[in-house]
Amino acid sequence: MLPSFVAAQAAPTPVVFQNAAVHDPSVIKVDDMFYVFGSHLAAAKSRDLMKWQQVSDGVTASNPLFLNGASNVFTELAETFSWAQSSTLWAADVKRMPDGKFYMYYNACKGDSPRSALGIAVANNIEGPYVDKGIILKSGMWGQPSHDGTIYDALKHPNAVDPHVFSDRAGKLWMVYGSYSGGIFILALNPSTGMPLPGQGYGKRLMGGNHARIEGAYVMYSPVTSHYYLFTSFGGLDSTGGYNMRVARSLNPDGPYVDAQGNDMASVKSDPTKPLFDDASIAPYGVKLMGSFLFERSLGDTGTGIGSGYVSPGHNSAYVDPASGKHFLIFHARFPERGDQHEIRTHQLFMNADGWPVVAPRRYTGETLGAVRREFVQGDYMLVNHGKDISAAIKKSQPIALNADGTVTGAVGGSWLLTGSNGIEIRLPGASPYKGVFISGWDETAKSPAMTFSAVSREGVSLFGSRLPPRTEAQVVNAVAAELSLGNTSAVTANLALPTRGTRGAVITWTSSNPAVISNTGVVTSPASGDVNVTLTARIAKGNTVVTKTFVVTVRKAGGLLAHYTFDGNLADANGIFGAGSVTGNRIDAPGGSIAFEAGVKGRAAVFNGASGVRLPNGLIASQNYSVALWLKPAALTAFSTTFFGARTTESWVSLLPMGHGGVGGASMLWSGTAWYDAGLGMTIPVGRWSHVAFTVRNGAVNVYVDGSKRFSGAGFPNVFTGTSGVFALGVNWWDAPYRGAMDDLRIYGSALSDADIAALVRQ
Amino acid sequence: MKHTILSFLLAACCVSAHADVISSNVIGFDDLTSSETAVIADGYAGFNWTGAGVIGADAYPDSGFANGVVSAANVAFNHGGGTVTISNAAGFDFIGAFFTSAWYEQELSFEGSRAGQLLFATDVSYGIDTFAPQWIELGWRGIDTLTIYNSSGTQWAMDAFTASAPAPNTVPEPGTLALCGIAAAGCLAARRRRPLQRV
Repeated sequence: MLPSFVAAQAAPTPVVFQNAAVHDPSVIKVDDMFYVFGSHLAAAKSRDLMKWQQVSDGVTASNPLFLNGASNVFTELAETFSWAQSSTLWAADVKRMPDGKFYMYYNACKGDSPRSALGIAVANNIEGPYVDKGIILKSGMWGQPSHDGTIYDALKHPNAVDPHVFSDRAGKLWMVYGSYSGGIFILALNPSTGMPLPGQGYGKRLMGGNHARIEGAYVMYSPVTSHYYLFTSFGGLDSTGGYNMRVARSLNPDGPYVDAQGNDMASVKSDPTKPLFDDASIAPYGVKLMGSFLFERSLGDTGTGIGSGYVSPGHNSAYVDPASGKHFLIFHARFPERGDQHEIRTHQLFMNADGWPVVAPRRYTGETLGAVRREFVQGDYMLVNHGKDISAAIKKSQPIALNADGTVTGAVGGSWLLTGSNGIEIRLPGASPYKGVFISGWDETAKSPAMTFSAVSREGVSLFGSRLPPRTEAQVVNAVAAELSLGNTSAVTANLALPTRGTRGAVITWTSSNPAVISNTGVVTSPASGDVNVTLTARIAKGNTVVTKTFVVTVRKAGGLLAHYTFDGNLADANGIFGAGSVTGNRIDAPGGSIAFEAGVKGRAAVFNGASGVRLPNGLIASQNYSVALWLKPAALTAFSTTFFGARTTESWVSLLPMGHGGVGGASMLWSGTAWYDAGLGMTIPVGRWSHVAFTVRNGAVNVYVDGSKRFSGAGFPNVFTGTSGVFALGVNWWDAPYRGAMDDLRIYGSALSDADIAALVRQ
Repeated sequence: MKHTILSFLLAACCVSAHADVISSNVIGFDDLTSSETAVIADGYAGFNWTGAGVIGADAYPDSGFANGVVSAANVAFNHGGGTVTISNAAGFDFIGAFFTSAWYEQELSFEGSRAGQLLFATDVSYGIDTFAPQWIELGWRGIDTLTIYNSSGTQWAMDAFTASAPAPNTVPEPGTLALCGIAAAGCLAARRRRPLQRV
């Protein structure tokens, strides 16, 4: 097989992705360009399914899809917005009809009820402008007759949203649609006009009902198996909703659709006697293709970061390329530690020996299914078992080995077979054989090609495997040892997170030279006075191979002053514990910049020029109990510009802002992302005058003070500094305009100071 | 033609262990013109080459092409990251070669056949990285075709390809191959070789 990252001759072609955000992407190919249309009038296009260009985003008057002289989406679809009592649009689908024109099946929903309208807008060009032809379906007409003549009942009637229009092999035109409510329905359309054929009401129900959380229906016909495949997403779409993609199949476009166990999906619906949105009723059904997962990067693995995977991937479309025969699954995904940010993803689909789709575990990079050699597929793997549940839990990979003798060992035991030229059959206890394929893919964490497998069982459970390069036990333990770090251990006040696992099942055990101060599991008992040095020894074992690595940890007196930057002409820690700060450019990791000093509140103060910052030593704060206090004299107020900034990752950080965002009215605030926490102070510290600002955190309880007065008090503040590798800076972060103004007397404590303590700092 | 002391030693070792091997031939590709597009012409150094080209070490600094040079200034490589076959209808003994992956860590495996009959196959892979050439020694005797497979579909570099012409009337029958394998293993610690059978 020749993935796209291989050049014709000697040079490599770098794997380059360009991401765009289209929620609920529905694909249509026009000439050599793939387009996806989704919710909120977002669209994007790509020639290679790797580099996406955003075409439009957001239901605004300027959205080019509907901008047409004086007309825009609001004027064009006014009736729809009025009916749905909404100002946005849900998942669109565009189909090219025999007249050569592009028919957009748009829809809007009230959101907290299935009051929706679904209509057609037509354009000569795929990118618009689209002209409304009118609403074809409505739902949520409470107390009124619905399309089938009976009073609308959301338990059995559909929510008229999220359509997919497709032609079957006989040339008939169909639309599947629906979300929650009465389920997924299919309606026969006029193949010439795209309008519903008369006398169908809402059409035929295919699955769901009683508000079962099923949506995102899409039908793909596969010439490989001569089946129609009905994809849906179960669960809730947000990062904690457990969204996951499932499939059922039928020989007929309008069903009945069954899963791999033969269950008729029409009988899959929520138990009306259970609370609303009862997932347990539906979770056992359908073939689950992919849910939230993570190929977790372990200590000693190639690359950096936590690994690669998705959160709540779903609401897919699919495309079968008539020339290559390749099947593609195109969906949106959220990502571990990235909140609700989402992007388009494309993965190949393959049909297993039983005619059920399996999804390539890695995103598409041009690879083609081909013959594999046994010696290149046996070895160590990261294994993800997607299970059958609807859960916010991210399924993390576990280490296994596909051994040369046909056994599977590691986190699970069993056996495996290479079937045919690229097939895999895995047998694990308690399940039918998992059948699928080996396919080379691109490991985004290791930044290299990697063999993968994807397989599904008759129970509808999918496995993903991603192979690791061959390593000896000695190589494994040495790699783990090389990466094993406890961060800054020069001033520890809180418990240490001591890793216990490395890559490929390597086990790390710890021994403390002074368990009374640091236990063998990392529990720190700070001494009553003075510092204590403790040696921690890590024993790293893989099989019979062992290496050790030692760390000297200085445990500080409990609750004391950790660091004190006085800015008296330098950036040194007057406390003598931590190192000096260093000047940065306009971002936390940018070179350049300069810091001046002037007369301050006490002695001299640091002056930030709006293009510079100070990087402080890593690990300044490493617990859930701490205080930060400093004097600030802004020269200007700019939203988001930080003064004190600390981060575990780019997704988990704390930022003290003289001027916050619009959500707090631009007031000064303590901000934490991306588990978003806004501690607005209800006032803005003045420009050109010194203010004392402090915040204290104790296990999520946060207080923020200005000039000794408590301005904010709350609970649930994110626990950001869970390790000793936190990154800290003054005046800069990774994103925003740097702080402009002066700063003096920064103090950091290893405990949450009291109101009186803070007031005393102001008086000092 | 220059080549490393190591390759000399390895080749010499193998020669001394097999009295029927009359000569060894270390091919460094340095007398060919570097070209990303041209393939190695059939007949070069007495072999037919399929899917192989020659590239200069200076073509891609810091790549496995540069790091994989054993004899200056060229290495052979697999065009388009594909499979390479090297053949000589009269038969030859493949001793070994240095391999380096051009862009990504990957693995190699090999097959040796004669008259279309598979005589040897590696049943586990040889990992190669991009940093330094790795000597892979197989000591396969009496083959007429060597096939080099790779795991990732990306390019690798090969240098100091070492083979010898078989002595007259010493082309082994399949039944004798296991014994040859033992002898070669004793000399060169040839790893991961399993003659005749494939899993």
